[in-house]
Amino acid sequence: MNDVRNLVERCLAKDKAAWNEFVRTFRNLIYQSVRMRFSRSNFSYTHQDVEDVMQEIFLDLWERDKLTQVRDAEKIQAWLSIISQNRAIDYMRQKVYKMSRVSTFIDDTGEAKDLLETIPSEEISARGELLNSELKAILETIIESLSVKEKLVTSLHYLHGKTHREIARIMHLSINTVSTLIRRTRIKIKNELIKKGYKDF
Amino acid sequence: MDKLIQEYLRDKAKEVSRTKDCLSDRELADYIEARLSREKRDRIETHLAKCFFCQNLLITTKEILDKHAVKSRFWKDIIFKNKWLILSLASFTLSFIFPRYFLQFLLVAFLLGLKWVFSGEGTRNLVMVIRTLRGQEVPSEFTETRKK
Repeated sequence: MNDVRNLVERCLAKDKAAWNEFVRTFRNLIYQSVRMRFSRSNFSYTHQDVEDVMQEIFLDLWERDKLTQVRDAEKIQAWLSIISQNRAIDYMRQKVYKMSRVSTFIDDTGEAKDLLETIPSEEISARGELLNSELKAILETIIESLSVKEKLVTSLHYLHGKTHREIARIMHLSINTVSTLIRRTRIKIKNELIKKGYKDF
Repeated sequence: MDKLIQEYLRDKAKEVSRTKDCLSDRELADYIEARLSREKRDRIETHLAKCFFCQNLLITTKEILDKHAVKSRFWKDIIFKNKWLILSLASFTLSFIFPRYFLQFLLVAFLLGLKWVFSGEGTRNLVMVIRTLRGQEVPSEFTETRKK
């Protein structure tokens, strides 16, 4: 994988041939990342929007030397995908700003939040009907008491709908460990809910 | 109960916001590429466990990378998964090309065919075919693994 490191070094040294090779190699990944971020954020986009964001990304990499951040890395695909998505988020923020000119709003807790820093999540749909405020508070206490790994696995499984195998790959754990964590968390939550008098679930 | 947990988490994550504590591009990339020490991993997971913005970025990036990798590995995967079947068919074909070794090639084809049947993928295919022919429902563990 020294090839990538070499390519990055040559791009930083402003070697045009290396840059052309870089664009040819990673263009598709950047394109997919921008499109996926737009779709995931329910942003209505055109081909021109994607091209505009890609232009900005390539400027960051070539003219603003952003590649120095990954000078020592053997693989840069994940980093490239993340910076592309963040650029897409910035682009959406600018569009929202132009459209609304209102950048802050007050959320449920009364806290002022920046609308432009807030992206809609694809998983989040209608408000729950099963939850009442008391149950919500109980679940909050139970989930806060979980270990970091249990909490993360629970989120990936229940919120993002990931299978045990996918979670194992994301967190670099064995499938058995993930299954154990999910089973243990389920039992903990169930026992705590029973203790609090909730039995109908 | 699963629905309850799901609804609770959806309610918590209904606004996904970037904060000043959010992970840097490089930190998240290093986590995905498994390039971190145990302590750094633990620190990043502590943040991920409570930040839906970074979780969202993490899983989307992982999906993009998987899709990207799948496209380039597609044919390699198909050949690798069906290697015993392909070898068996090749041996069967060779038995006709070299009639002198007809029986030998046929025997090898039979043995490789058996290997395919008893390997995980082959058995799964057969179970699915038999269950479908009998009009029974195919268990989800078979379909989930086959989707990969």
